Amino acid sequence: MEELYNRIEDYLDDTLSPADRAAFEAELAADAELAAALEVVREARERLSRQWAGEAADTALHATLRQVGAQHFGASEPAATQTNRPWIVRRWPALAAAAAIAGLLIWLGWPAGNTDARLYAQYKTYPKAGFVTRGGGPDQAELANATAAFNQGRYQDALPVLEQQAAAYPDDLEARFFLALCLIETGRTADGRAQLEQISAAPNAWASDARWQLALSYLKEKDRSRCQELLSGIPPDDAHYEQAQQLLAKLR
Amino acid sequence: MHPDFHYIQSLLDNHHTGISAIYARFSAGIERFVRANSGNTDDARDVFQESLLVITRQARRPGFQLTCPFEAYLFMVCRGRWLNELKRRQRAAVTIAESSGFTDNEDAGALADATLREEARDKLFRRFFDKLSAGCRQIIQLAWTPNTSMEQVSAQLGVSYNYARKRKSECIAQLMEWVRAAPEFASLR
Repeated sequence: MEELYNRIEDYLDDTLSPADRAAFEAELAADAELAAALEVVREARERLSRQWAGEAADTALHATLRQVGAQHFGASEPAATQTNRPWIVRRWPALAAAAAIAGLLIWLGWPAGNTDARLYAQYKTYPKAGFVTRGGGPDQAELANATAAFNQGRYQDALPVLEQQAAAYPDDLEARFFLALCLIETGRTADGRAQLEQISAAPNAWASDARWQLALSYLKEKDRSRCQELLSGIPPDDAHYEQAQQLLAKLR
Repeated sequence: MHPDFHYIQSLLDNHHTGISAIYARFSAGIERFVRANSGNTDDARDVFQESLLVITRQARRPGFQLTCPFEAYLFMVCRGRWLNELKRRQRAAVTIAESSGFTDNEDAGALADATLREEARDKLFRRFFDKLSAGCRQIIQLAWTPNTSMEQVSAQLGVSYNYARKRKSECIAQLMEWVRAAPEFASLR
């Protein structure tokens, strides 16, 4: 399988010699499965690279549409449906039930902290890890174990390997990002935040995720104001902007 | 070129005045349509906004041609997206009862269908790409950046050339396995 995709990639990258290219094309003509595999890889390359290339333009257009849309669409109003009964009447049983539950929770002294914990659980999602050795530091087997440990939520097990990798390669921001998550998960929140602050300080592939996780780390500790402050600082062209705005609205 | 192409050009250029003109001219009709079909103003705003984004992405594809009035195309895309949204909300019987004065246009229907199908297929590939590990996403994105050799990819990742090739092919194999096994892969053709 590995060789199959290397050959397809070499063909699509046009790095085969003329003789190898002719031989591969002869195989394609005779092997429908190979031809089908080639077409899906070609389609994936075309679709994904077009999406990546358009991301910045999409973000900018989205911001304009939001801004212009807010001027042209009025405030939220109830849906027009086939019945003429007012919305509040149609929804009365559900509203009554919701009000009863809310009243009970208030009577029980439901603290805001529970909301924070619920929101934290709702918004806390981690990217999937996949660590690659750079030659020194931990070897590939150790990093594979750390990958599995992180993805299975065994943060304490992943931690020592990631600490070694980050010490050996301070420029390995991927390892440092996941190390930060492990530190936060294992109670060393200040150390984890220090990593996230350093990663998010300069433009890089992990800066956006680091900013988002840093804000969430404060929500985890029910420090709403610091969380809100950090969420408010996430710019509109950031990958987590929409999530940040949603969470901010829920925290208000 | 269709005389209405200037609307598409405004979207491609993110031209604020041109986009304001699109909203001024067409948003009220779409709002009436959505509100007449079980939605509210917020729904209409979202459908309108997302449809303009989808149309812009379609217009960026090589060979795109506007073959019908922009209004009809926009309406058919909004209609399709709103139908999908109603289905997603699991309304028992999803029917569009009211067209709010928009007239049916065969070319617009075909162009809107193609647009929504392409968008859904883009999403299919993106969904499984996003499911890959961070390392896989990184190596595939680097390798599929135009004019980037595997030597450059391996240097950027700080790994050997052979390891980068091996890792890339494993990641592509995983992506292909997921994509080809998805029921939509065949149904969205």
